[in-house]
Amino acid sequence: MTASAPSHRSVAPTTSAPAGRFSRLYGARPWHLLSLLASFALTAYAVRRLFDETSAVAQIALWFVGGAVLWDLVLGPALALADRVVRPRLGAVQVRGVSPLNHLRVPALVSSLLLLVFAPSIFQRSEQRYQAKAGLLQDPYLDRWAAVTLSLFALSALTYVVAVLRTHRRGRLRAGHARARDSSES
Amino acid sequence: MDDRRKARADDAGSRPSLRDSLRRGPGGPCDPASWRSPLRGPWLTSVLAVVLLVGLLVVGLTGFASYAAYDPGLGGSNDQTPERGLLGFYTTFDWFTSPSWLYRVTQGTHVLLGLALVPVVLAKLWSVAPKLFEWPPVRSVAQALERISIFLLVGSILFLLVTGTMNIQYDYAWGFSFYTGHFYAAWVFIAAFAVHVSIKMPTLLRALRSRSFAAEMRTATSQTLPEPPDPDHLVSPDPAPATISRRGALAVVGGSSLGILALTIGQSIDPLRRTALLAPRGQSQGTGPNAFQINTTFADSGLDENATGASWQLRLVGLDGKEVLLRREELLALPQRTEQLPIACVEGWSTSQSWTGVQLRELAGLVGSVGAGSVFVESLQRGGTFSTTSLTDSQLRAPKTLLALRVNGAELSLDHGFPARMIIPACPGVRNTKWVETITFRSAS
Repeated sequence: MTASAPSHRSVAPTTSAPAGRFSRLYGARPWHLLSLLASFALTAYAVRRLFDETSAVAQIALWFVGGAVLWDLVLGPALALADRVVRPRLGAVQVRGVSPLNHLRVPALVSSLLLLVFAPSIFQRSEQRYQAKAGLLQDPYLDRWAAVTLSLFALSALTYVVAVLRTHRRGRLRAGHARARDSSES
Repeated sequence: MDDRRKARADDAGSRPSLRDSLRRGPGGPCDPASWRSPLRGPWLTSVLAVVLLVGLLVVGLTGFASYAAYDPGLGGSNDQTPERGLLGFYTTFDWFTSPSWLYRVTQGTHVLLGLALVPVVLAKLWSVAPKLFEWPPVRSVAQALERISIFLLVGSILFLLVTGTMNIQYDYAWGFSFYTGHFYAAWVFIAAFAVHVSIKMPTLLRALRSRSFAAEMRTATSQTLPEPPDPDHLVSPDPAPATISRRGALAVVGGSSLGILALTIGQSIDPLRRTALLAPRGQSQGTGPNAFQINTTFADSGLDENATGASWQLRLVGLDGKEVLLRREELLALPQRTEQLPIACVEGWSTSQSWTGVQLRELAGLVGSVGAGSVFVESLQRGGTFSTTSLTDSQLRAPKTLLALRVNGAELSLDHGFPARMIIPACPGVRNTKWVETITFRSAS
């Protein structure tokens, strides 16, 4: 995803004249081009072999491009958008100066991740084949994922309560010992 | 409003303003100021990169090892990508037969570590997301080529993760062979990964030296400030206040990885199986000597119970074409040997059991074929991809290679290959043929 940083700036001033001209035209040092060409040659060879291997090259290409497009243009932005909606609303809520924001979005994120990775099992997408191969049912996975999700939120809520109580106690201790200074709590 | 003005200027053919709007870019995500996370920066990206550099290297090497573990040089079902050409250059050796847990460890690592790296890969992609929308999209030939290479890198790693996670869950929605897709994508990945690492290594080292990891691990959210502006423009020009520290963000990523690992590792470690709540092979198979993980149930084999009954005979074919037929009682009358050996699947799960049966080399002796170069094993099952397999001469000679008749002191169940199945040390699960019908010893080719 990062396409970087054309390494103009890495061209050392000591570079000889022809190499300097090359770098200006190309945008990086010669080894940059050589290593990329070597990499593309290997890729081209693999793709060439793939065409001999299967007639489903188009499907493979579709999944190849589809994964990148789905993450970069759909799932990634959707996650960022959800965060952008939730953040100002929850960020404003504070109990004794402690925000519940991370205590909610962290378990939500981990739970979504587990859902993404184990979606075929959780949504029983391959029940028949799973039963034929393993002799088992995919029934339990939705419940298990839900139980893990609940545990994550419960654990996170617990750490939130602990954080609030600790801030509270620290505040009282400080107020008692040194009322004059250090009154600001972070 | 702005767009309309732009359009009018274009109509008038006003060159400077066209160039101007091109330079400004289309806005939205192409505007660097729209990326506001104060955590994005070369240091954070590099920390994730180091984890991936090591982790993906291990996943890659164990994956390529798995291909060798099928002994593709023997052809047939052993080689799921026969057109591989030079890409199989390293598989010219016979796969190891010892230690017997070798494939269990390499393939368990491949799958478990691959799953655990999903959060790290996604975090890494998040950390460099502004680069995808960078404006102008191309500044030099060098940058254009590098962007193509990055596309291949991202496309291949996501392809590998998606096909891998779907395959272990039996969700074959792709319309192509998993082996084919995963193998060739792995080579595309390696090509793009190697060049990315070599080009970015100086940037990575510089970024890692720019901050102290230990100090970062002591920095709370309230003290978390953006990294200084970087030449790659990962750092936001208009950062929002931090809502989580770098320590916190890395803890979330690392915690997710460990969480996935904790919820799956039990499918490769028998006493922990129940802890693998989300792993495809984390479920109990009940109790009893045959209550362990099955790959292809008898019901799915298409076999008739009569074929495995009293009329069943094992057919041995020797090097000179000599045939010997053995009934099950005759096999049980031969010297029996008991070995604790794992069934280790390409899907990453494994289970170790105590198998009893006749050594394969003992059977070879019955048809004067101890010196055979390879062994061809056929199941009663017809049509399944792995209903036949070939074994190397090292696997034939290995003392632990058995034609198993019993498991954990009981008869094999139909699901586990009754009347007889192969069990081979350190060998991928599918090559341990069940419901064996014929074993043919072949000369070295």
